[in-house]
Amino acid sequence: MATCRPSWQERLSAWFDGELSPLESALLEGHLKDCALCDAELERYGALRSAMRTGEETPISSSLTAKLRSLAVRPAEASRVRRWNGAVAASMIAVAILWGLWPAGMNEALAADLEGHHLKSFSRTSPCDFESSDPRAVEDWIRREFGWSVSVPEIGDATLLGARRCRLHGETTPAVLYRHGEKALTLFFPTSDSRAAKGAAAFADGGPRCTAGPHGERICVSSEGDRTVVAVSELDASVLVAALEALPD
Amino acid sequence: MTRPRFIELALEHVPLLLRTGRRLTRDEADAEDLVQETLARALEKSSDLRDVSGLKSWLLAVQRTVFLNSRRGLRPRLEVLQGGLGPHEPPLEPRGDLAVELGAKGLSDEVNAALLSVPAEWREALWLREVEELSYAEIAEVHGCPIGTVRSRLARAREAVLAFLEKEKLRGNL
Repeated sequence: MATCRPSWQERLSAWFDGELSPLESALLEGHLKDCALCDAELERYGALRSAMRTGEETPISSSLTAKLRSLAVRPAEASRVRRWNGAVAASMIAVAILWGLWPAGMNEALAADLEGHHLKSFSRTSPCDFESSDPRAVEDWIRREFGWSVSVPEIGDATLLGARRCRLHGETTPAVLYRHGEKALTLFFPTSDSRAAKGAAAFADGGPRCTAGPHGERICVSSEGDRTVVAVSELDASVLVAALEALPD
Repeated sequence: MTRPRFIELALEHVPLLLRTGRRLTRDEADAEDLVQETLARALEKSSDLRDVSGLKSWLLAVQRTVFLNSRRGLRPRLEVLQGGLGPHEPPLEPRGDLAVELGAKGLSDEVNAALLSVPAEWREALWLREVEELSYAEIAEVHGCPIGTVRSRLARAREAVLAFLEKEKLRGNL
């Protein structure tokens, strides 16, 4: 569709928004008397505005409101966040080196999903939906929230932080979070019939096996019988494998 | 200002932050995470807020920073790349008036596609103006740019979005 000169278009757009100065408004209104193109353009602006303003309500869940209100009483955790962000940044520096050195074979989308959830968790002020250093308490929370049982291991030098909900390949999955020194570690527990578990188990091929995500985080998988567990961290793969081997039978 | 008071004031703007979060993340759970993180960061920086009347645009600016920081480095990997138009496009034939069709139909998918076809800063400015009804000064604060830049972005955004929709209409996709 033909349009008027760009200098008029910018004024027209600002006039439509009520953001033009009185002087420029007077100039534009004089122009509009003689310009059918600008007149038609105004009509199109109006139609676009109507199409964008759907009047849709934005309901806020009570759980979100409760979480936001809880911020008012919780002390700031900025220093911890900064440390985790530093760890995440350091891991990203290693990307190029690691990506080419690790065995291939894991579904690329799954690897990106696992790594993305791990990094995102530790970029938040509160990585966990449920915070506890007690493995039994975390197991109870997962049983209540997900309806199935997992065994949360105690891992050598790592501190258990708690757990959170993730969506791997669109399926809700519990993730258990640890701090190991200044580094983060996540264990994912997909159900055996989920696409994530099947993909990870196919990659593990019977024994613990490791690869690297697109940003260089190590991803190790253990799959025995119906239980598939995935560990993600910038820590050495040997630490991740040890964590998976610490899983109770 | 006390933390509880700040949160109570900020809660009034949570629907706006959630809508913006959905648009930025394209995922409900991620949008809620982003809102939570935004308010946490805003609380930490609340002493920077000089005038409570500017809380809305200030929160949006915090949200934008939190989002960009969270996606830095992940974005190239996670964003879906849009395909090209392909070599065999059908000839274009006029099919009526775009303004009439926009007004007559619920075109949210098409409008969304048109919005996604323009640069992110134009799209965000247009959204903040048309949907959230922010002033040019407020949008300038959110984007950290001069008001003149906002004015220019809005004119270009409107032109580009309408051109995209016009092209889709000519192809018979509207």
